[in-house]
Amino acid sequence: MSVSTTVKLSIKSSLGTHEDRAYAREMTDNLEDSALMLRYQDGDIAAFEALYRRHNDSLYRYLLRLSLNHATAEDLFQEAWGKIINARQNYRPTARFSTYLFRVAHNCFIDYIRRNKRHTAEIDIDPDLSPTTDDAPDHLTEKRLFRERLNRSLADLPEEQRDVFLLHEEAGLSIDAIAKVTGVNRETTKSRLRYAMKKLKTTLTESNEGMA
Amino acid sequence: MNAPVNQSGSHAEDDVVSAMYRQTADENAPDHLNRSILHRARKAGARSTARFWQIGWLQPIALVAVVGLSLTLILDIDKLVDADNPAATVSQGHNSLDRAAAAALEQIREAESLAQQSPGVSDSTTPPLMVEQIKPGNITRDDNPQCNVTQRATTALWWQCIQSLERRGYAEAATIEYEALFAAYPVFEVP
Repeated sequence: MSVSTTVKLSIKSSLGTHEDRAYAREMTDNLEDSALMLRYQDGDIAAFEALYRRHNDSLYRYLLRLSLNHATAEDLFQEAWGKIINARQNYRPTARFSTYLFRVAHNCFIDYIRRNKRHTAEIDIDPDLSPTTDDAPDHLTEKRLFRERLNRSLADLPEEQRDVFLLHEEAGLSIDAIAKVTGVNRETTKSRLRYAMKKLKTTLTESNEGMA
Repeated sequence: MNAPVNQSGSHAEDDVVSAMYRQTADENAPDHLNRSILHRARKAGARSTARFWQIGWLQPIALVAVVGLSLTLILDIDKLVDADNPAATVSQGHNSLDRAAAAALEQIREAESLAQQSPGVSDSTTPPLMVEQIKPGNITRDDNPQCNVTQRATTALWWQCIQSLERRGYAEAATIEYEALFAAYPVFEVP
């Protein structure tokens, strides 16, 4: 992507018609994460918006379930994206962008734990957070109950296992990528994920049976 | 614990847990966070765009400056080399000095002919040895006999000057001039 093309596209997206903007958005939507980040390095804001739209919800859920605290998750979410924005000129596409993003977020959480040694996995998440409007009321209640159980099950997991499970589910990272993000070897990562899966399956199934 | 392993390397029971998780965990990032971060990104992006334009103008200017300085340096080095090698300087200035000497001689000859043609001017006023005096060898002072720049302008004048020095008994000066002549014109053949 040449610099002039980026500038033209930026000008086009800021001054063009609705069709032009739609075209520019479609173009950016088709680009890979790392290409979008490189375009953002050159000052293309639309590229960052596309990148943000792809990862904002999954990163938020990761931090929410990792910290089990709504306010902490918001703080860490802002901190992580702030670091991505500030360090944009140093970004090199050596790994998948999601690996890079979740590594930054993971490190933010680790720093937060170090700063707040009293941090405990007490659940402070509103189970009604962002309900989908098209859900029927009975379905909504069922979902709410299940979400509570999920949050409790995750809170019962050791922090390392919860972290690995969430990186697997929310970031869609492979075992090797999770090992890279968390800074432990592959076998440890694999075993943490296995234990997390097993415990969650047991607790969630028991809860389901209890409710039935 | 020996559950079947699927293509991605995870066990089938993992897929069940994943499915249960994804069904439930569908929260979105709050709007105020989205707005705040996108605003921050736009501000930072605008700063980097401004910096890009500054650099965009500076780069060609810097390039031109570097090329200009390099050329100046190369020309200065050439001048220094020429200063270290006076023979080269003499040979470079050969044509202009040759022309100057020829013009001077021409002017004197014209003056002589005018003096001879003019009826009111007696022959005695015309210095008979004027041309001869300008000729090589006669211009230099006796206490420091050597050929001057005009005489060194061409090989012919320089050779005449050397012969003149020899005739006048300045053998040592003639030898120095002779060596200088051969240093400046290595291919010079003695007439």
